[in-house]
Amino acid sequence: MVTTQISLKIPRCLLTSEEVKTLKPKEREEYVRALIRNILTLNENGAMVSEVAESTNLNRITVAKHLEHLVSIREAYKKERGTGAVYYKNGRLIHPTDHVSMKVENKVYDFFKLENVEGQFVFIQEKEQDELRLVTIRGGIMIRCEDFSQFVTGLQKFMMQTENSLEMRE
Amino acid sequence: MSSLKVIHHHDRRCKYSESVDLKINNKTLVTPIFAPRLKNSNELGLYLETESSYAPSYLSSYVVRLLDVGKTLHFRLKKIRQRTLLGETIDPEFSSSLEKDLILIDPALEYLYYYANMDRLVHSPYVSSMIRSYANRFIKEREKIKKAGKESPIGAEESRESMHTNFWTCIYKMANKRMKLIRDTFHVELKYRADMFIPPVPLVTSSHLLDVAIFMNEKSRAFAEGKVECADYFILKPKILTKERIMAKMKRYIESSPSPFTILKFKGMNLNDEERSLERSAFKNLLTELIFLSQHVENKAFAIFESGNQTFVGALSSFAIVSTSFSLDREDRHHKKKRGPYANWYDPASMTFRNKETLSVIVENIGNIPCHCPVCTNSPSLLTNGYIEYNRKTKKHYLCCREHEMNEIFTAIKSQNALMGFNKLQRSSLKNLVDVIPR
Repeated sequence: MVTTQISLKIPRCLLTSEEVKTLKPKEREEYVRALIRNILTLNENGAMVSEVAESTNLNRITVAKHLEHLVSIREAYKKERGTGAVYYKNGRLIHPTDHVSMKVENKVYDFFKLENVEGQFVFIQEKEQDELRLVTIRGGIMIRCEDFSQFVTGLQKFMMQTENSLEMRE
Repeated sequence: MSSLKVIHHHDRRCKYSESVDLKINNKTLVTPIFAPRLKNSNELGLYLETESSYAPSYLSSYVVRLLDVGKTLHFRLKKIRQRTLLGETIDPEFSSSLEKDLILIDPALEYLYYYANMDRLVHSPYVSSMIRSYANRFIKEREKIKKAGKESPIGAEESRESMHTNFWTCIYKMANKRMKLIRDTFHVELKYRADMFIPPVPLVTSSHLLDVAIFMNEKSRAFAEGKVECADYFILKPKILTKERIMAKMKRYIESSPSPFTILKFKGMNLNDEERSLERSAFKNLLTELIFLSQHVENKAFAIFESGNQTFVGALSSFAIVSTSFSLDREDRHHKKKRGPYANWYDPASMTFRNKETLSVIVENIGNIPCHCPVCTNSPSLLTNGYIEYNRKTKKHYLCCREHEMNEIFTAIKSQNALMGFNKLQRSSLKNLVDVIPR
């Protein structure tokens, strides 16, 4: 039987399981999520649940839960491969300056221009800041660069339509 | 992943220096930056006044020790939550500073080694409870030794070394204590709006404590993952500069560390002393290597805390941020001279401090204050002011002078004028520091 060796790149600084146990539940959740996000960034060729679990000593169910969460907020995407799925980071920043932040009260909207195997995308991410300025990602949307102007036109049209119908209702 | 971005510009670099843009938390800062270390609300007020009156470009950051956050930031931060009836903030200066200035909170745990601030550590609500109980034990032990006098089986120095090393060894070995120290420190840093985490690390006095410092940096970075950017931090005794093995190990770590920002602090270093030639040459080697790293590694920048006399030379070489107090960190020295109510005046030509009497003699001889900063230009009668006003203006003058020095460095880098720093130091009282400039 041929065994494949896991060659995932993992961050240099990791907490040991003993240290993870000392974290508060919310801190632990945040730490694991950040770690998995970091692993996806380091591995452009993608990572599977089993690989991440094995290289970090985390439970498979925990890893799968966090990877699915990253997909749901568009930080990652997955491709089915046979019986499993490979998870990829949503893309790589084309240039360090291709990132703009906009703050509206306690919400931050981040705009990125990303590139992955499927092309170039505008990625809009909604984040929320708490009192201590810790950021929680609430969601995101990826728009193909070539479809962007069409998307903006559609958005404007939608706004006009809703405003018109509001006037008519009044 | 790193939230700090170091943006290089090809027209802002020369062989031994570079000016970059630091982007963090929606703040963009142009280096070199002078970050004064502020110890109370008066100094913070002066910093904010200087900022709003003269709009400096390179005075865009400040450092506050964790011990001092209560006296410095606490009340100002409370105040910005208050609004007028029109919904405007009642402290617009501070609010605007929070939006654009880089705030760094230094855990300053080198004080676990020195007796000077032990009393303050015992009573500080801002430090971790572990630090408070250590400081308590330290003071009791010292009193015991003092009481026993010559009969004591262990000297004060010996006891200090062993207590300090044992404390950090315990932190190194025990996961729960280590994580508590990191969590408590970061919690206060976050609460007081630090833009970057600075880890709690020991004062490096031996190879073992360097291992502990590296370990604490790595663990703090892992803990901070996904929250706020975490810097690497090393606090060293100046004599460590000449210990080649320790320095080599630290440099290897800095080179391979994923952290984009490294802060160094050399406690009480004055390389302008005649006898410090070995340290000068070691510091020059360090600067040369840091310049290489900052120019060749994609996302890397450096800062030096308590830079003292080395402030100008540090900014001229590899440090993006240089920080020192209003008195060049002299307040921590053992044999401090008794000072009068008047603060010392920073002489921009000699790059050292003058007391009020010396300044009076200079003014008598040349007819005016030998400085072209806006503070001195607007107050020709500085010497006739009472000590409160005199000290305020002297401190504002100091900030303006540092801003001017940073501006000079920026212009020299842009125009590839490598000799500027060399000539300036040659004409000053810091002549010995010429040996430190990498050439």
